Amino acid sequence: MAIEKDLRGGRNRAKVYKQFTQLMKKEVSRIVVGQERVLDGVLRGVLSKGHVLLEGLPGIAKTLITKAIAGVSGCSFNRVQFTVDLLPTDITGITSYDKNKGFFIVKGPIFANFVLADEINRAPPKTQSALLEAMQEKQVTIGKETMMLEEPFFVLANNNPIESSGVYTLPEAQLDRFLFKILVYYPEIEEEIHILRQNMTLRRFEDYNIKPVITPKRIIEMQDYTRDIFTSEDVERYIVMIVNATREPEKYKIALGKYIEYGSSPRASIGLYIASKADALINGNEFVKPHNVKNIAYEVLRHRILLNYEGQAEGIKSDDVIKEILSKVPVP
Amino acid sequence: MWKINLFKKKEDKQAVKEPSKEDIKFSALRKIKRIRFRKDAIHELSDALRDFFSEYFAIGYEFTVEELKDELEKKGIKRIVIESVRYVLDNLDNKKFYSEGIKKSEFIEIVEEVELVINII
Repeated sequence: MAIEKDLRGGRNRAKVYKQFTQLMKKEVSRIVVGQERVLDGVLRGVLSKGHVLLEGLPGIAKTLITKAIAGVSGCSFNRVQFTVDLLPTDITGITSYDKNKGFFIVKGPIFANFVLADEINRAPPKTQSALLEAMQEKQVTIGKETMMLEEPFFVLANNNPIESSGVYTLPEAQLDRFLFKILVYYPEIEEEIHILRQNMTLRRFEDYNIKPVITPKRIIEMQDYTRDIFTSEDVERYIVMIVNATREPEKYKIALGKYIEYGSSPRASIGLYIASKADALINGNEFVKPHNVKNIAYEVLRHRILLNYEGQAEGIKSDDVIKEILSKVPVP
Repeated sequence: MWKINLFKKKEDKQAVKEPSKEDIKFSALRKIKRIRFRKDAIHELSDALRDFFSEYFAIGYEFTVEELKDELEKKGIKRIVIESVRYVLDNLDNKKFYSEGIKKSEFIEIVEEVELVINII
């Protein structure tokens, strides 16, 4: 494979890895029409070793995207449909007994490289917590045994935003565990026509014969390289100033700052730091530029800025606040 | 006899003259000429260029190189000029964000490129 040759030949690794991500996107685009922004977001999440929360109405390819990315990366995939009666052990696994084998562990669906938590807000808090703890610790305890989850490990959860009854909204502290919150919108007209022609719903996923174009080992290698992408002190300061502007908006003359109840935690700074590196890698750069930070700022910050009642009543969105912050915090 | 004219109009204050595009260019070039080579000279040069674009194209927000390129496209600047701007700014970014420091000769070369870009706009 030409890309492998480039890698062995010592060519700029960021450029070579960019080719891998393009290859993945090309293969995924055989089944997913449009949604490039979402696809890029998910890839950045995978490279940053972060987890992603997708929010959007039903039927806009959220499940398909995850399944397709797992398919092209040769990773194992499990889907958990969250329901009100789902138990923590339905996710993590149980200890069972057989008279010949004695006690043994039955691993739950969390034991996969890519886990899709479908409609996470339908399950009660204790079940949500079981997933979120596994995401954070990257290990699961079943009975007396603690097991590490296999790398790469990536959770993509989706939230159903249209229903309010029978759902358990994720608390802010839990939301903070997701590196990104990506909003998924309806496709454009041309894209929807393309969807009709592909006749998606009448064909099974397997019919598309999605091929792995990369290995799980290569993903781990890319994740490690992402951490090595260079970030200058100027860019580090820029990241911290953006997060600081969510806490002290008046210092940066952010007019919409009056609608902020709580700004973002240092986890947001860490998120911007690592995710901007992943964005640099996807663009084939060996170092982070301010534009990489701007590219991922909405996804990292939108669930980490809490608006007050006044803001909510005025119909202000956290994206509006982020837009103003990015336009006023001095770019180095 | 003293006459007091109560209806005399106040003398019109001279309106503050907006600097012309040429003035903006001239002042930016003068600012750049004054930058002497030292440790953070590249940052000073970058700030001067950023101020120039901001004033010349009346860009009212903190922009990145990529956003500047989009602004120039929106304003109908010729493709070749945009590419030159991009080349110089990318070069400047590389030195700013991905190098341990630059030599005097490299700095002089970048200053020349920056001056050229301001002149062709």
